[in-house]
Formats: sequence, C-alpha cells, structure tokens
Amino acid sequence: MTPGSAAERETVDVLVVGSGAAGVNAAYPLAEAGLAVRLLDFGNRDEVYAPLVPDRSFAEIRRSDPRQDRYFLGDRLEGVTFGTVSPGAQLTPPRQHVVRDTERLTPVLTDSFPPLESLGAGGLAATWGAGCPPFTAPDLAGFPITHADLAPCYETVATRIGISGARDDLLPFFGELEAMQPPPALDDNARRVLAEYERRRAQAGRHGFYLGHPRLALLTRELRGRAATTYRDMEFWSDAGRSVYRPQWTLDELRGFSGFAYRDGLLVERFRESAEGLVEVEARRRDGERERHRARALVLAAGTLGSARIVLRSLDRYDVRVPVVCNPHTYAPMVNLRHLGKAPVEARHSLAQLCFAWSPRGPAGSATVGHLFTYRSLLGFKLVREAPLAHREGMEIIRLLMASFAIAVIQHADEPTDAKFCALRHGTDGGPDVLEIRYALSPAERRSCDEAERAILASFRRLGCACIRRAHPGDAASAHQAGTLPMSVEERELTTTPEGRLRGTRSVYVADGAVFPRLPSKGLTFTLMANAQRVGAGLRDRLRS
Amino acid sequence: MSGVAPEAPAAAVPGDGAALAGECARIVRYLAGVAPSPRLLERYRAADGELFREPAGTRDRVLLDWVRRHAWSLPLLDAATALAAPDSRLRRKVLLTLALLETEPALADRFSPPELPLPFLAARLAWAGLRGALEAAAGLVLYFLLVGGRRLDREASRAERAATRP
Repeated sequence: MTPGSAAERETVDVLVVGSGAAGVNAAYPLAEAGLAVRLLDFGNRDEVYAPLVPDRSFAEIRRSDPRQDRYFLGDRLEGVTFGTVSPGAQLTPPRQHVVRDTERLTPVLTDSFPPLESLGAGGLAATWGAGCPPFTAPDLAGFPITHADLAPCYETVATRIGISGARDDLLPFFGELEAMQPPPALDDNARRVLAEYERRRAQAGRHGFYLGHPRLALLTRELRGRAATTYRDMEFWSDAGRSVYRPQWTLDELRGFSGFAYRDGLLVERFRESAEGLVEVEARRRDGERERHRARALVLAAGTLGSARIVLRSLDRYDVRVPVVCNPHTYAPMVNLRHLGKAPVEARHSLAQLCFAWSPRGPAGSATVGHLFTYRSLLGFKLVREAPLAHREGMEIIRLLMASFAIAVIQHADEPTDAKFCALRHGTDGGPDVLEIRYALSPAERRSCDEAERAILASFRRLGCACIRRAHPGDAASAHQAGTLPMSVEERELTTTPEGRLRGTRSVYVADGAVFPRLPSKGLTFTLMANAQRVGAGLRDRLRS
Repeated sequence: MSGVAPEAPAAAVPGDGAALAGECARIVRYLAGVAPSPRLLERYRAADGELFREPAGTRDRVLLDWVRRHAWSLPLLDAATALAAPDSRLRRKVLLTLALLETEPALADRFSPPELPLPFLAARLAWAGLRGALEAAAGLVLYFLLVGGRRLDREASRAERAATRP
C-alpha cells in the first residue's frame, strides 16, 4: 500500500475505525492522553429532517406544526411501512440515516437474521433507546474479564455520558454507580404500575419479579454542556438539548483535543501489519477511490459485523465460520387496567419508563431483564396497522386505551452455538463481499425464553396489566449482535485477548460488541462503552511505555 | 369519528387525478367524517405516487373499483381485509390516509387520548368493538362475493410471487 496525500502519509499513534458508542469511548482515553488519534468513519448524517423539527413538545407540535408530516412520516413516506418490514424501516424518518447505504455497501445474506448495521455518525447509538443496565459479576460468566476490571470503566463512562437511575429493588441486578444522576420523572401510567408493585412487593418477590427505575443515558441534570431533559416526549424524533446521550456528543468533545482528527466518508476495508511494526489501513471513499492510513496501532470499532468483515477480509479468512450472538427479543403490548380512562400527562419522556427483572432464585445472580415503555409519541397509526380491525374502529380503540397502554420489551440471554454463525463470502461481479449469517435458536432455548416471558407477564397481570399478545419481531430485532471475535484466554484464531488485541496481530485491537463471548439478558451498549474505555486505556498505557 | 358520507363515484381511472381525489375524499370521510383539505388531497396524491407505483393486482383492482363505485362498502371491506387480506392495497391506502390525517394539526385532538369516566370508556370500547365485529362479518361476505373466494387470492399470490422473483 502506498500512502497518497500528506494527511495519509502522516503516521499517527492510533487509528480508530467507527464513531459509534465503542469507537468514541475507545478513542477518548487515547486522545485525552495527547496521542495522535485519527478516527475513520463513513459518517452518514441526517441533513434533511433535523432542521425541521421544532424545539417544542410532541403535544404542541401535533397541534400546531403544519409541516409535521415531513418528519413524522418522511418526505418519501419512509415512516409509513406496510407488512413485513426490515428492522431499519421501524426507525423514525429523522433516524433512518443511521442505516442508510448498509444494504449496498455491507450486504448480508441471511434467511432469518436481517441485522441492523450502521454507517452513520454515532453508529446505532445515534438512535438507541438509551438503556444502560450494567453487567454484574454473574452476567460476566464466560468472559475472561471480571466485574472488577469493568467497574472503574463504568464510572468513567457514566461521568462522560451521564446516567440516571435509582437505588431501588433493581440495585442487586445493576450494582452501584457513584456517578448516577437522579431518575427522570415517571409518567402517570408508569407511576401507577410502580405504585401497585410497591403495594405488592412481597408477593412479587415470591415470584422472582422485581420492578424499578431503568438506568438510562438521559440527563436529569446538566452535564458537559448538555441540558437536562425537559420532558418534551420527542426523543424518537430529535436531539434537542442533547439530554439523551449520542456518541456524536463525545465525538464533538474529541475534536477539542489537539491530537485528534476525524475523517469521514471512508469505508474501511482491510488492514495489514508492516514489517516496521506499523498498521496500514485501506479505506474506500464515497467516490470509490481508495486511500491508506498508517498508525502504530489500530482499534476496530466498526460494529460487531463490520469489524468481523474487516478482520476476515484482512486475514483472508473467507468462508470461515465465526460465532454470532444476539439477545432474543419479545414485545408484549399491555393495558394497565388501573389507569383506564385517565388523561395522559403531556410532560414526559419517550424512553423506557420502568425496568423489570425476573430472577426465580431471588435478587442475586443473572436475571431476565426487560423494559416497560408507555406509548405516545410514535403515533397511533403504527399500532392500528398491527390490529386485525377496521382502521376507524382500530384507531378509536387505540385512542381510548393509549393513556393506559404499555409495551414490555423482554430480552433474553444468548449463548453461542453451532447454529449461530457468520462467514464472509467473496462478492460476485466486482460487488462487495457478502456476510452470510445463519442464526437459529434451539427448541430448548425457545422454551427457556417462553418460560421467562410467561412468568414476567403473569407478574404484570398481578399488577393489573393485561397482556394483549406476545410479538416476536425476529431473531435480529434487538440489534444486539455480538460475539464474532470473542475475548478468550485460549489461544485460538479469530479471537481476542482479554486486553482486546486480535490474536495473530501485534497492534490490532477490537473494542466493540464483537469481543463479547456471550450476552446476558441486558442491553450491551453501556458495557460495550465501558469495555471500549478499558481497551483504549490499556492501549494508551502500552503506547506510552 | 362519524360514519360514511355516501358520495357519487369519481371517474374510475386508476392513477387518474380526479379518481385519486375521489378516493381520498371517500377514505377521509370514512375515517374522520370530514372533507379533505386541498393540502391533504395534494399529500395523498403525492403519497400514492410514491408508495403505489406498481399496478394493482387483480384482487386489489376489484376491491378498489368496487369501493370507488360503492362508498358505503368501505368500512365493511376495510374490516374484512383486516382479517382476510391485511396486505391488500385497499387496506394500505386506508392506513396511509390515517397516517396523513394523524399529522394534520386541525385533527390533533381527534387522535389524542381522552379523559373519560370508566363506564363511558367501557361503553365506547364496547361499541367500537361491536361495530367492528358487525362490519367484519358483513364485510367478509361481501369480500368473498367480490374476489371469488380463493381463486382471486391464489391469482394475487401468484402475481406477488412473480413480482418478487429475482
């Protein structure tokens, strides 16, 4: 590879690939230490809708903005979807840039696992639900690192991004977090569910059911120039005030470090380690031209599947199977019968209102964890679409029930098996390589999910929440894919060391979900950020020495 | 939201501007009991061009043509297709119109959850459910009379398969 422009010729200390939750948090300790860090990113952004969304509440906008259809439905009606849709199509129009170009540039071959991938600035966390449940010691079973390794990184990241939550019945499942801000106010519907739980706490505990405030990357106090939430119920549509954490906020902070540089419009394809001990990276620009970058070390944070593509291509491991895991996901729409007929309060946030854990062995060990969302700002027609009713009657029923409506999102742990894998295939006719993904849960795994869901929904029934149905949106729907280059103490090809270094390389590190060998029943993003901080800090110390 | 306002059929040329305007007016009257504003008509026309570029299949043509000529049947066929043909173009057009209506500021209150005493809420839920069930029952009879039961469904399925074949 021959470097071209002056910027490309300059060798930096570290190249980081990807500006998602992992990339920016791995880059932070490196750039903060004064190292020369260059972050390479494709960096798609929303330039159409963000300027259109007024800085007002959802209810005000609904009553007053004549142009709301542009961002609520999309200029090409991309917010109105019919029938079976790909996971990305469920995103609101202002968030769909996150998945733009992925079908074309990072194609996948699968019959059951259409993954959500991102080439956007901020990655998938530019549209995430901001759930931040930390992994506890039992959650890290099977990892070659301990909770003690991660605990200081959780604190560092919490200080950087802002986490709100409470020390309530879920504390045994989350652990302490000193940097935690107070929890956001609950809406009336969620408050009533929580009050009923508190009244029946002993009974719920006997069934292994625990309820409390979620840990959210949502500010309730100002932090680093970002505002506390103003309860405008617009979190799915805009980032006004920046109260919900997005990796772009850390990217903006990184730009303040003199040694940091951001290059977007680049799709990194492969790396190579040179005899002089440098890593050379080849990336394709939007115009199709290639450019090369050199560094003393490389940190891959292109997403679980993106990083796997780069590694498999670079090491010429086409057609070799690597594992993949992803939290199985179930939605359970419910009606809180004790809240029927109540008018909704307009001041609310749109993220998870409550979090629950089911742990039949008591408040210890690993639990099945989920979140409870109340529903307002995603518009009623999307619910009517799912109902086997005439639209007029469907809308009437949804409207009457909406204030007491809730959706429990239950996610399950996932372990690697022979039936869950991906492999990189050569592209045909000059097209890009294709990642083939096969993913199937075993009957025993499905039974285990079913048992947990039944127990959780029975507990909600005892709290007055009647489940309407259980919806299984597909194996990839949680978008929590992980485990393609798992951390391991065993010296195996296509794995990473506990420090995040890719085996068989000297200076290539992986900092994203690819290194998680398994997934407990919790969203991985907070732990992914903490681990990225750990990998970045470790690399910083190595480069300094 | 009130009932259907019977209306003279518009010129039934698929994709034709006047026909689309008539179709939009019928669906809006069915869903919201009002006449569509000029802007809503324009949005519907643009959305139809964006989302329904492909020619309708046999079953969809039969249903849409029938509704154009017999506006009273729209609630019945909407209810019937919810069960028998949820992916039908008729149902998609009604959903599209519902989405457009929901983003009309003037209609915001119609889509907002009301505060109601429990007995009133129960009565309205029961009425909506009963009306939906009756419409579905009558609509299913009409649907099967119109599309010839399984024959046209099979044709539609074949056409869909052919359209999606690489």
